[in-house]
Amino acid sequence: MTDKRNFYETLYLVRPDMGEDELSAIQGKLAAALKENEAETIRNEKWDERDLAYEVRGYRRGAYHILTYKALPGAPAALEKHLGFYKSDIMRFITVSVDEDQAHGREPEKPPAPPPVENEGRDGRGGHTREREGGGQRRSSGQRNGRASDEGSSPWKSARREKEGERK
Amino acid sequence: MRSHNQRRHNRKRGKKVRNLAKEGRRIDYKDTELLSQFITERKKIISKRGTGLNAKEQRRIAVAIKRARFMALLPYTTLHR
Repeated sequence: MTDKRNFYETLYLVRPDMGEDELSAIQGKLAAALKENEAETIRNEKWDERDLAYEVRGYRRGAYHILTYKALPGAPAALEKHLGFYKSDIMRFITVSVDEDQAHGREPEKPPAPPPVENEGRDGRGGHTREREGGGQRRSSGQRNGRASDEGSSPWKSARREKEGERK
Repeated sequence: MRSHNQRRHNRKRGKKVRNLAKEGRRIDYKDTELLSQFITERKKIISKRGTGLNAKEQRRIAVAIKRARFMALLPYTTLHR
């Protein structure tokens, strides 16, 4: 018999001032929903409590709880039905399907070849500038100025300016 | 014409690429440290040209950033109250 179960990960954000009892009541409901879908729970814990990137329902802080499980495809919907029911306590939730390694928290294998030397000192923000510079005068004057006011002083932008400076 | 081609060649060499698979990093919406490398100061997603990622990874990064934003792990903008 083939196993039709998939791996899922649900992250939900609860109010920071929620009591333990209330939370465990909700978690009990979630566990029941998972049981109905032949779920095997891999991880069920508090992931982090941190300052939110923006205010959600008047809260600037929140606790993230993570639930990883292997279950039938109906499980996320059943789970989210419960999560959606406790709207006042659970501010956000998201379910993504993950692969088996990810579900078990295994690190991805690093390929044996070391990264090429030319990437040294790179922070992921500097960009290659091929098309920009090849665009002729119209592009370099008009469009770039327009973008500059839009972007402000973003890091990749300034990296590009430096690069262009070098070339001149 | 020749000088033009020469310049073109140099420009091509200046292309900086980044490959997260080669770095052994998995793209995860919870990994805000990694994702914030691909947003600007104003919290906008940096284009593929700017990040130097390949199409597949750029796509996954963009989706991950959007998920993180929804979960309030990353801001949508600097103008949040």
